[in-house]
Amino acid sequence: MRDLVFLALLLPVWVVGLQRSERITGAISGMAPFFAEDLARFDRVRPSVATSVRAYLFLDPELRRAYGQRLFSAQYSLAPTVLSLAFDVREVVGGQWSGQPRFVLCDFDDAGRRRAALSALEAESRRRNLLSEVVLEDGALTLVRLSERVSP
Amino acid sequence: MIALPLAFVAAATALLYRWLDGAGWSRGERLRWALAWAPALAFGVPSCGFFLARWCGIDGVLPWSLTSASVVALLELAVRGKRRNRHVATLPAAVADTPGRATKALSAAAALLLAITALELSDSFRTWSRAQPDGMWDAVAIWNAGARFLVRADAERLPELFGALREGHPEYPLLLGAGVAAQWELAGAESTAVPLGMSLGFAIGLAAALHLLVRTAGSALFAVPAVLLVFSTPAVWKWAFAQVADLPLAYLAVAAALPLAAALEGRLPSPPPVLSGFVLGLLPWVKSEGALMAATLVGLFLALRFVGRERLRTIGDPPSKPARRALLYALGALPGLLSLALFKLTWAPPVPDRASFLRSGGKVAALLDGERWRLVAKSTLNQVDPATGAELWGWSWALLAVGLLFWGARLGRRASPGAVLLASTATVICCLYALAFVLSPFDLAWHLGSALDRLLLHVLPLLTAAVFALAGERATPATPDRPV
Repeated sequence: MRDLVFLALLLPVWVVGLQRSERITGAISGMAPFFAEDLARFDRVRPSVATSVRAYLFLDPELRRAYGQRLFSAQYSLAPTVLSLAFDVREVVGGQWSGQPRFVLCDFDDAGRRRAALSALEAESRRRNLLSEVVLEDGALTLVRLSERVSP
Repeated sequence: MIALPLAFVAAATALLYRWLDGAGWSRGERLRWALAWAPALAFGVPSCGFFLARWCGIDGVLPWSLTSASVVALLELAVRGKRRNRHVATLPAAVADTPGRATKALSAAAALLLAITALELSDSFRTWSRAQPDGMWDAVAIWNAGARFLVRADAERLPELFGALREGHPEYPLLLGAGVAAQWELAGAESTAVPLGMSLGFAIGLAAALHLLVRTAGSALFAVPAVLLVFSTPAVWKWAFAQVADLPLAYLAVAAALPLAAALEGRLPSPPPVLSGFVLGLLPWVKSEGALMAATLVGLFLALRFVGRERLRTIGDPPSKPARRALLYALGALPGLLSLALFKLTWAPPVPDRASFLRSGGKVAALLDGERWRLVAKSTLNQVDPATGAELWGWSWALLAVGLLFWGARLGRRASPGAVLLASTATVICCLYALAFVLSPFDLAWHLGSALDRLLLHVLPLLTAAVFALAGERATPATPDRPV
């Protein structure tokens, strides 16, 4: 008897479960794909950095507490180039230089802040006697190549 | 491209069906076991083969294919060796009760509901593939990102690359990453259909393994209803095709529990121990939680076996030597465990202190903090309570509670050792997860919000199998005194 009661109870549980599950499918259907826009942006940059082992993702400090989407979509698109996260030009320009050029992806949504960040990057590069060259501009994304100046 | 992972599953099913061609296995039983273990073989072997080839510094399709073929050949040899040395048993797996008219009607109704569920789920699969081809957050951040590193970089650079990664859990094991990468390399394209197809394969495997587990530990009549409950639970739909590790982990836990439950129930003949070990060895190769699951399953199995040895003597233990079986079991677990050990010891970067469950500070204080325990308990209750958790769980937990009320008294080591193993494993894993949350280095509320439902998903199939195995009239195990 208990078996039959249990199986009878399963029926409404199954119906409710399927209804809720269909709601989830509906929500998934109506949701913009995860990271899609960012993935497309970073995919376009990939050919330019494909040969580089490491690169810097230079983000607006406003994103310091919510950088995950930018970093993970960039890393997914640009693998196997390993990205280092930076919110300050000194993090980007500093450290040991191996003689190899260094790629910096400046990703700032706000045009004014982006211009300021690029100016700061250029100034810091000049201060450290580095060459700074914009390789690609794609909306909010600017790819900069830093390299050591070769003495004449 | 979706066909590639499914072709892997089909090939693995055929291979397993052949391997299980032993005395006493009916065709239906062989097919059930083959389907239940096929995704483990189909994705586990290429994953281990790909990783081991790359770890040896060898690029290209051929090396990992040859490594995988070697693993399969070793499994074949071990299975054949077992066959040669086995006493010819002619006992069927269990005495099937002759189904009455009511039972036939119930089975037909359950099969109809299962067909409807499968149709609905296939619609969900199409939606996922169209709307979220790259999967959910963790698929991009962790699992498929790992696959891209593996497939895009030269083998000799991989240790340096993994060592340099700081975000996206580069220390996570690579069953999924290497499995996807192997197929991408074979296909010559990084198609999102491959991880999606693998998700589908794991979902089919979970249904097949759960069905067989309930049949093995309990009544055949309740096997399809158990699958119906799990696959009508919204959380399963949320995560099944999200290309994350949680459903594969739930599947492997059920698949690894199968031979252990069968042994406790005295089902004869036993499945080849080398295959049983292989499936168990893959659990830690998915994620750290898999290591907890594997250790819990084996520990509880040994404990139940030890305390239940009197009963086993009375029903007739399989005649093969326990030491030899244990050795073959360990040999089978080797590909997964070796891959994990090599990865963790040589490639994986150390977990930063800020993300470590053991090394970050204040662990004793966290352990003694009643507020943290209360928050974990409250969040868990919110998930399982239909009033607050129905959006994600429907009424599934409530029905399982009803089942425990009905048949909980049957939970006895002598009467239902298989169900005891499953229920106690689910309970221990829940306790370990609760402890992990209490010791969490992250903001606890955030961590519970982002992970608790996925961890409960690991436990749901095991607990469902336990409850449904307690229901109904149990199939009678074959015994030497009572051949049939």
